[in-house]
Amino acid sequence: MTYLKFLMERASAPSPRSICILGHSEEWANRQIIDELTVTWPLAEKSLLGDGKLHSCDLLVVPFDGDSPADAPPVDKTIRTDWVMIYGLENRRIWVFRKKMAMAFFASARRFRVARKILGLTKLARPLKECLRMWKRFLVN
Amino acid sequence: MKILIVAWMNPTSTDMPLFHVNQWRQMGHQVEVFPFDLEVTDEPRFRFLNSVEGCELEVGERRIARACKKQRPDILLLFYHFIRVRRMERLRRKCGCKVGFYLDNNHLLWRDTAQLMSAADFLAVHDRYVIPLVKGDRAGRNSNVYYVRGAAEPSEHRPIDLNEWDKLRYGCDIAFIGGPGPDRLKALPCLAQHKLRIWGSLKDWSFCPVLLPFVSPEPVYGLKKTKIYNAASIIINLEESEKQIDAINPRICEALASEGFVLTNYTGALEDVGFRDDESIAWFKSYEEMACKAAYYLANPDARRRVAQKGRELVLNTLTYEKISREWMHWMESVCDPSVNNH
Repeated sequence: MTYLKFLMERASAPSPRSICILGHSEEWANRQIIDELTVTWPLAEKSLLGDGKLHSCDLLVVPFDGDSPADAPPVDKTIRTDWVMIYGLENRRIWVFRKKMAMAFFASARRFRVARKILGLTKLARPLKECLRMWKRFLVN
Repeated sequence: MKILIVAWMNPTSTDMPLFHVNQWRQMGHQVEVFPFDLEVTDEPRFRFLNSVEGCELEVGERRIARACKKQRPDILLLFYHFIRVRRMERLRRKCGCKVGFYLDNNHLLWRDTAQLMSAADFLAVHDRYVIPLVKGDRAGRNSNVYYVRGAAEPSEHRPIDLNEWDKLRYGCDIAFIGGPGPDRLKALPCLAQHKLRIWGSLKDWSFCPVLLPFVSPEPVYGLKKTKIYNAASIIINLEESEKQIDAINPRICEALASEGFVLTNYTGALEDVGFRDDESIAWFKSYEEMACKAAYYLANPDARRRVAQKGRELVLNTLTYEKISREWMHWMESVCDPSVNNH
């Protein structure tokens, strides 16, 4: 409760009146998220998505497993929402953004993952590492 | 006062920094939070750079400095050694703020911890065992040391009506929430004849095959943690001696405020705050005693409920954030403005 309120406040997001949650494959995860949202905003209307219908809500919750938002499922852009909560279940890595920012954040997380793979496949990691080392030395002096 | 807090915010063990922040704001202070994980370690661009070349300190220091420049706090309160000592001193000079350092686990020799403890304007410690080791006026000791006891937030940690699904999912004889360590790996197998449930990462516990069948890898935090405290017959608290020696773990207070029954290893800090064995808590001084008490209290639910009720009363009267955070703030005010002491 306290943590979710802190995150919303940090994002300057208002208390949501309606919340949509992208369904997770595990029942415990859906229950856990809905329980936490219910205790935080008892009056907000909550709906678990998965019925294929178009939805509209103040806050869309996108749960993901793993440790990176790049692992999050793709978000249907037709869902009408003002705010998106990117909800990392494993280590409670949760971000709240306006929808447009959230989409950019997902895209950026995926881009960096691809960049990491490219570095692994090419010889570019070495010069980048050197650059970062130089930057660190520059900061010390 | 204007306070900037730098802390890990998403560790699943407790929301302790936020509970303090809420109380200090209610007291009228301007408190800003710099969540180090959200601002640095979990941020995708940083993760990418850090995977190429470790740069957590360098990036973190710059971002903290930027936040300090923007907020211009009277106090910069670090809940971990997020910055190196020279950088901290430079930041303090530039911003004209006092720097406080909160020591959670007793990892005094870890990286810059000892140096930061010496150079900070004041120290807050979770374990009173370290006070005589660090407090003083000579040889790099810090003269301003404050002991912050663990606490509960009754609006979060409270008795809850559980539905059947909750009871089935979270109920057990003995619940332990956390990671392994040498002491826990010795203690927990002594409880393996009961319906034991360890809430933690499978990877962390994988090197103890005896305990692996009891591990539930679902993440635990927030309301789910309170539900576990409500559903388990016994909540066990096992301190790792390399982390804490004489402290009041917030887990104890949170479980008791939820009307859970707590079985814990003994500390003088618990006794001094008013807990009594078999009255408001159950404690043990050996693993044999732990196993005996677990068996006794599992067989005697009335005794368990009586002790849990007394423990809850003690926590609500003595160990809530409303009380602990405010006392801590009054102390910080007196350190930052000694004239406060004279009023």
